[in-house]
Amino acid sequence: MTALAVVEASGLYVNAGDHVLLRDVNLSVAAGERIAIVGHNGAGKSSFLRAVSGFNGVHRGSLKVLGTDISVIRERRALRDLRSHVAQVHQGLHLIGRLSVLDNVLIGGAARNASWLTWIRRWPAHEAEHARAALARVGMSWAAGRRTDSLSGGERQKVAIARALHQNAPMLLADEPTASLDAEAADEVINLLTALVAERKSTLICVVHDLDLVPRLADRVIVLRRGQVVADVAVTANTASELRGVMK
Amino acid sequence: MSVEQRTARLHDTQPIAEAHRSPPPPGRVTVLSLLLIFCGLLVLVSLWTLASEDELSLGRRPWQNLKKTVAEMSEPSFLRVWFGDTHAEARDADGKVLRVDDQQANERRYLAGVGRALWTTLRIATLGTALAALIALPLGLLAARTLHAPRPLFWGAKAVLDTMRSIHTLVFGLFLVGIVGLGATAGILAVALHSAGTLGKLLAEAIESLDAHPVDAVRATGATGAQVFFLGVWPAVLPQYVSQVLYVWEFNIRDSTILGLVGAGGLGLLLSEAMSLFQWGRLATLLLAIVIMVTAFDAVSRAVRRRLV
Repeated sequence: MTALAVVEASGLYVNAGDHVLLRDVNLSVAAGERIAIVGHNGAGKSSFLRAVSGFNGVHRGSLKVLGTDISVIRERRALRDLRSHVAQVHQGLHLIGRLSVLDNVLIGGAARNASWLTWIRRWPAHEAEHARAALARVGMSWAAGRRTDSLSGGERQKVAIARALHQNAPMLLADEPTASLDAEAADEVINLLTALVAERKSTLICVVHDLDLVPRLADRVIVLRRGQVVADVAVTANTASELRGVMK
Repeated sequence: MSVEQRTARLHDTQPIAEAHRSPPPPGRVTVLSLLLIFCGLLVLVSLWTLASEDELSLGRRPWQNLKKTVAEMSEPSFLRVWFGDTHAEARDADGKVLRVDDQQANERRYLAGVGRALWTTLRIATLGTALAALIALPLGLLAARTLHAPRPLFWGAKAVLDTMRSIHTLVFGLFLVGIVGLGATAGILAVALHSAGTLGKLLAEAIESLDAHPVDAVRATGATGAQVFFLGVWPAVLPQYVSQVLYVWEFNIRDSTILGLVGAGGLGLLLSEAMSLFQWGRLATLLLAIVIMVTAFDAVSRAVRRRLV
């Protein structure tokens, strides 16, 4: 356990009612690491991400994110502050379809701008500039004024990445960021993600379904099974085939 | 078998596709058939008891009565604008002429009155619905489970909405005529109070059925509760709410045609007048006017709503 750990779970249990989502998870993620989480559906991958961003309560054990113990946070303000330091990219389902692309990206800056003017989507000029820069970085400037639900899956995913960029957080969680994308779009999204993570030296924790993507996205892979960590290894050239053996 | 074992089996040892292919659990089928049996029984019991209370008869001469009504109403009074007698003489029993009527002019005057009443009805429905939309907004937000309003406010809003929805516009009208007096104001308030209940419930349900992912994603950026609402919930729910308001407006135009029956202004007054004076021709004219207005408004509203969502 180094001092630089950004996520530190020890004896972590997460429940949903009687259903145990995560059991006795022990792991530590150092700043700047790139981690892939794999496992079957229902193995607890997304539950882990939700726990890290404070959406799933900690049942037993402890979970420290960026030095804050999530299980003891009682104040909403503290939780919001923590969340603002954890950017997320999900399956492209999480943008507001009826808002423009730029408005969706601007939401990434919500925690920095608590003014009520943001309720009617009036943001400070420098925020708009920053958001436009994020859109330019992912190559989506042309779509700034478009309605988000008019975009394709791949384009939407790039907008989601732009929102995460705009949020400017040291940590990025991604939940199957290439699910439901065709090979070409998936390729582009992954290149973008890895480039940005390298550029900003952020920590990446990414739930991956397609095992072939693991070596491209991560240096370390964690295998979950029925809520438990069954493998936690460094990624090597033949990791994908090894994982297939483990997960059969 | 414990829950954990079962879920483990479902999720891990079986491939997912197979889990999906397994037959639906028997519980659902049983619930449906029980429901059908229950509804069938309710229908039978209702029929049987009503029949034994002698409430199911069609009267003594339903067929003749129907023919008579149809015959009386088959001559809508508005035809007199063109075919009316300009020198209709009203005589007493001795054949003495009491007065001479110009039926055409009379009917023109009546139709102008109908036009004014239609306009009043339209205004009652419009203002009532607008007021209802405003009242329903805060109540609907409080009553939406997913917005986690404080418990007492949540239950309070729900109770108020349920009460408003369960009291019919006409009943509200009766009370309000007693409170604010005869006329359109009572109608507007009656429409607003009843519709606010409907709209609030619809709004709460629209919010509850929103996709949670985008809203959670806004929350995940560290946004405040108000920001989550205005940036995540409101843009998604607004078009639905506008569409619902339009639908309720459409409904209220139909509903407020009878508000005049209790003195709350609009067409209903003419309806009750025509019925108590046995002026079936004028009743036919009124019904036609209502049908035309409602159909026209329905068509417009439906076209607008289709473009909204």
